[in-house]
Amino acid sequence: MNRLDGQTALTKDESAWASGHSIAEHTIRKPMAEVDTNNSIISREVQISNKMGLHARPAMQFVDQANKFTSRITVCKNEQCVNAKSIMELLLLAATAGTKLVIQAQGDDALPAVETLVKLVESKFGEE
Amino acid sequence: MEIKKGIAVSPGLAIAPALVLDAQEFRITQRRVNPSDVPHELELLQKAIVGSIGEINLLRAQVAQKHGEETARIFDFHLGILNDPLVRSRMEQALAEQNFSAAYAVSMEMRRHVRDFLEINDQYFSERVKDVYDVERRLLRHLVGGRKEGLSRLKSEAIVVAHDLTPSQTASLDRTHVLAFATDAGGLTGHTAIVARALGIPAVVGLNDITADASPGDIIVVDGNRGVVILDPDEHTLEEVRQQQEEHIRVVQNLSEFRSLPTITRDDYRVNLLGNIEFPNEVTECIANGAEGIGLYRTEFLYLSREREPTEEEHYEAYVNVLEMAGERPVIIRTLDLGADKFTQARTREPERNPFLGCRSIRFCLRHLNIFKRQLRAILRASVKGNPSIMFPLITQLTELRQAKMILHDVMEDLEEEGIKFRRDIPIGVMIETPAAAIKAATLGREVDFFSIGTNDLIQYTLAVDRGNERVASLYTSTDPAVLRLIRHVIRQANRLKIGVSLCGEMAGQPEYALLLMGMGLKKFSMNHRAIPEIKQIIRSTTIEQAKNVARQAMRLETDWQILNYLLEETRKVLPGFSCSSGH
Repeated sequence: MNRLDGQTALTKDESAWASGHSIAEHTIRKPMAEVDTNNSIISREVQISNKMGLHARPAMQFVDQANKFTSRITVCKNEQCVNAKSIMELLLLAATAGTKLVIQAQGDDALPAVETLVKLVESKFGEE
Repeated sequence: MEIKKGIAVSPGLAIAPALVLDAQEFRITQRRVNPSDVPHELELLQKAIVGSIGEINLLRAQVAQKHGEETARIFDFHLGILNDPLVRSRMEQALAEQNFSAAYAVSMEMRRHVRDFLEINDQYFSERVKDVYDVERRLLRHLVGGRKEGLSRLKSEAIVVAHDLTPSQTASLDRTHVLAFATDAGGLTGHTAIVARALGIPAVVGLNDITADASPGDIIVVDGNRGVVILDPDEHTLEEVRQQQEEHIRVVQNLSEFRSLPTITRDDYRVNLLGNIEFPNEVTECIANGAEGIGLYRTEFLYLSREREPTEEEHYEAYVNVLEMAGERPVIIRTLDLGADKFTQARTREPERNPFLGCRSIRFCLRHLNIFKRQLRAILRASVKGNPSIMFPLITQLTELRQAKMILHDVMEDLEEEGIKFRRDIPIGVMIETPAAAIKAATLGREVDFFSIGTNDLIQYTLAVDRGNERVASLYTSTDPAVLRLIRHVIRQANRLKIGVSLCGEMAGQPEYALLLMGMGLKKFSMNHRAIPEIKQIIRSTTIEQAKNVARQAMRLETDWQILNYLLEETRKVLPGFSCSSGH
């Protein structure tokens, strides 16, 4: 699954930022280690630790949680970034146990959003 | 006008409106709508999504109550797809920006996810494809009124455009209205090809994305002689095609003169030409074309044309029907030869990773004795009505043959106890369609009355080529020396043991192989009945000495294309007007 070559760049664009994102925001698609200086982007790294990885069921929990927030939220695996509110995109990360993901959010409730999602991943989605 | 190149698998020409089926057999009615209809389509899409979510919630609640919350969670993913903001916005965009119909937008979006999931190449994701299809089906049911369009009741003539045709679709096909097939996938010996030839309608397969390119309802041309499909043909092209159609009818009429003449060479060497059938009513057509019997009666349609396993009576009825139509002529009935289809897969716990090498055909029968015995019982009961033989497919081991024969004898004993009449001396044969069976022909031959060489599978298993995979289809060749040596070996062993041997694969009906096979010692050719007059013409125009010489020369050549070219050349000497018919 390589979404980084020129041909799929557009798809990646659509998928990470479904609607109404400006070009300027593209910079945040790269995973970032810390809180942005503008205080608008929250970014945290988390490791998938449940055995089955981010399969449909945990991914649904993740998406359901993400959809409770108004912030724009992305999840990145290496260079591949997807919209955290889309189950179909999230599954495409094919994040197995041990995969490191970066969760980023931008918006009014960015901080609680990221915290909630990180906690969900760390709780192994209640699976084990 | 756009010309698409594919693989020609069944000759002929057809002009008709396209009937486009998607991968899940739904008929996509319309691809684009008028811009003024876009708001209406958007509304339909919304309703379909809301309606589907409602249905799933209801279903989820029922399942939760019956089987518990854990089981019901399967449906959460379905709801997730329908609630996915990206999925929704992309479908809405397809409507608003490209004026696609709601049904088409749904199919396009779902196909995108199917493709993505399959690309990950992981079993977990391959299985999620079923969920995606399920959601697609549900949405389409709302949009196109739940008509899972079979091909059984069409109102007007049409050319069927599909990804690939399934046996269940073709089993109930409306023969008067379907004029041709054009499919994305498939090869020369795939199911679509076989059915097209049985029905005598043109077909072009391996067109890759014809289902995406053909607009439903638009006139298209299928040229099964050259292997092309013409989309949006201009008036000049249509006129040309119509002229060719008339010319073709004239050629067929010329060949029909041969039908009543015996199949003997100029030096009085006798050959039997038999017909292959899938549907009972083809017997009449076989006889009309001069078949001296049925060399291969495929019984799979009995299993695939209904939702459940056929009853013994349903088997019996079909067999009696065939035998009575055939009269004194021999009929070789092949027992269930399925694998990797809905019938066998519904009876396994998990899908097989490699069904071509899996529990199919006789292996399936030996594990499902009730199903097997039901068929054998019906064949035996019908045996007094004519002259049938029983043939077991995909035998690779002597023990399998012995087991199958033992079961047949069990069934015979049961019938005897019940006082039901049958032919105890019914001839028993095996299909030789794997290298294993071919190499062991001398051993297998001692325990059967006849062989039938199934070249389609023999080639596939010998050359390790999936004939339906268009990426390797070109490696599938009948003239590979390895294939020919196996065929020659089987014929020789059968003749040495003085048991019958016929060849029932596609090769039997392809004129360029007639001299070679006859020269190898083959006396029985079983083929699509439409090929019989031409093969007969070749045999009547040659001598056995000439055929033996061709076989000798051909077997000295080293590559498949040298052999094919040589055979084409020799065939042209015998039949000057002959042009290669099989799409090489």
